[in-house]
Amino acid sequence: MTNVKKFYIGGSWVTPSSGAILDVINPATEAAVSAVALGTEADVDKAVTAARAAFASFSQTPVDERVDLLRAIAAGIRRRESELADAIVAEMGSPRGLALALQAPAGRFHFATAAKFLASYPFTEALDTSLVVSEPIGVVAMITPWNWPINQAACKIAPALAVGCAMVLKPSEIAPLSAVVLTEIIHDAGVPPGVFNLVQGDGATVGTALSVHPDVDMVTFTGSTRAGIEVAKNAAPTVKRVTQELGGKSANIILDDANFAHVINRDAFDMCLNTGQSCNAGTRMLVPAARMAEASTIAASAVESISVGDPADVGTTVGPVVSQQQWDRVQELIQSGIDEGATLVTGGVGRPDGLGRGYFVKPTVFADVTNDMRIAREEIFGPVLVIIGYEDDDDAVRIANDSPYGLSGYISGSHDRALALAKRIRTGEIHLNGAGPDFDAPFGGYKQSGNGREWGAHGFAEFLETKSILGAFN
Amino acid sequence: MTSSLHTAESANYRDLMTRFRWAFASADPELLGAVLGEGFEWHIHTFDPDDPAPTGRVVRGVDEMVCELEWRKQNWANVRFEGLNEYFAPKFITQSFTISGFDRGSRFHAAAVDLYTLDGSDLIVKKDTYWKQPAPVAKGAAQ
Repeated sequence: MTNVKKFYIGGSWVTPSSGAILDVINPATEAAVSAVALGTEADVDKAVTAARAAFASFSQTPVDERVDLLRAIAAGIRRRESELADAIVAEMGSPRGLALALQAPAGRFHFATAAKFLASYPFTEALDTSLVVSEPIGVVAMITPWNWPINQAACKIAPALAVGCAMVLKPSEIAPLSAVVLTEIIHDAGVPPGVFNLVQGDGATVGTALSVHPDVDMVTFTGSTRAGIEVAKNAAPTVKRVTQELGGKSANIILDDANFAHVINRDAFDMCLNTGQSCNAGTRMLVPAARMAEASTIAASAVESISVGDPADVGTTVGPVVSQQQWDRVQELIQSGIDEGATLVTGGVGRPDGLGRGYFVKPTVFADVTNDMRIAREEIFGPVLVIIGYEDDDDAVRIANDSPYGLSGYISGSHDRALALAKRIRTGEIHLNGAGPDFDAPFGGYKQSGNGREWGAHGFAEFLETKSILGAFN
Repeated sequence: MTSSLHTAESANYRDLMTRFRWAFASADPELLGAVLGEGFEWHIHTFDPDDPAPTGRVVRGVDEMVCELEWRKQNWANVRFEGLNEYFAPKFITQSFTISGFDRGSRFHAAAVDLYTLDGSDLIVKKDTYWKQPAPVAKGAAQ
């Protein structure tokens, strides 16, 4: 990968201003697989300047041209999905199957979806004699995480390109490789120089420089709530728009009329996918208190069946967590669950048997958890399921909403009852009866899970300013 | 009832089907080879890609399956699977779902049932696909 130690600014791969690099660690082997250049304020300034210059003309391009660009990027992703998947496996430990089937294609889905909606998006609205116009907000800084690296970048880049913004992407320094491939795809698709720029580096330096830069109009951030708060603080003095997709601790309510064997098996298993490193994972399973033993037995059987191991192995369903730091955090939280009196049903601290190297975690289930325990309140970001008992539907709603987060949620049971409960849950989305992701539907959180929405046509709005032209129809 | 198996056995089947779905979505021969058994056959609902008549045809082995999936990638767009349910019995897995999308510009929408037969090593040796078009879709039935 020749461009991993360069940045993409103004339509070219350029040499960073500093020689600082950071090893990229394969979490399955703990060995360095590459090294990425670390950017500086000077690199950020060059990228923002290039974006500002490009914005003037790109914001005026016809919609049809931008539809074509989005489609060309989607096609480019399809052509290079295998490379993207390999990069994702190496940088963050996603099982190769998941990387090929969803991690890499998710980027394509977002660009294709944006093209679909852009073709008929209403950028103007007539109000009596006034004309209301939606215009691109300007230069957008994008700070993205390591857990779904292509998905998270694409769901920002696609709508920003769609509406005519220019942008600077800073991917996670932990997982920077797939972003290089994506940038090459964007270049090859013919995106005009300066419209899209890539600066690698850490949050403290590059993320901060982007957030405070006076010529950046908007920062869109996905990551931890702690980091998201820092971004918002840094952006406040220049009154930037800030959208945040942050942490989650999503409740998964299993109603008493659900088929327990099917639903709990499915959901305990799904919670472990991507090694539990999904912000919308259903990590708090709420079951009728009287059926705690039954639920925990099913959940334990489900996670015990999961193939944990080398993510490059096609027989692997769950790989390692991303880093030593993340492994340590997961271990500490598992221990806290034991110390606080939750029942450890399966899993626990330490590595799975036979895996002496790599950041592997035992898929873990806790039963008899109360919602005040740390494992019920904090985002663990590992394959750790906590099962909490509830007394009735009102109690389930109360527990589900008793969280600082509000990103996602899940309910299984009879449809009308589940739908009625969904309307009472304070989260940005609810999956009923195992419904999968919908790339057309908005994604984002209530409360400390963030501000703003991504995905689909709703995602366009975040990148638009609104202008009223009064007397336009006089 | 979704399963006549013990929970642990059905969990193993779930692991297999997750890896199958990944393999199917990626059309990757290595991933497919890891979940398909000797003599694998896919009994498809249509005779050929240009003929929607449900007279059926058979795709045999990993290579032919990759060709079929690649053809779909080239010709189908906006494909969406919804309402997936899986039912486990010893050496058999049944899926029900709806599928929609565009085949060379023409919209399709079907209710589908797939029956998977497993061999002694719990690898998939047969995938029988049944589609019914057009499909009235009752969303959100309890599971």
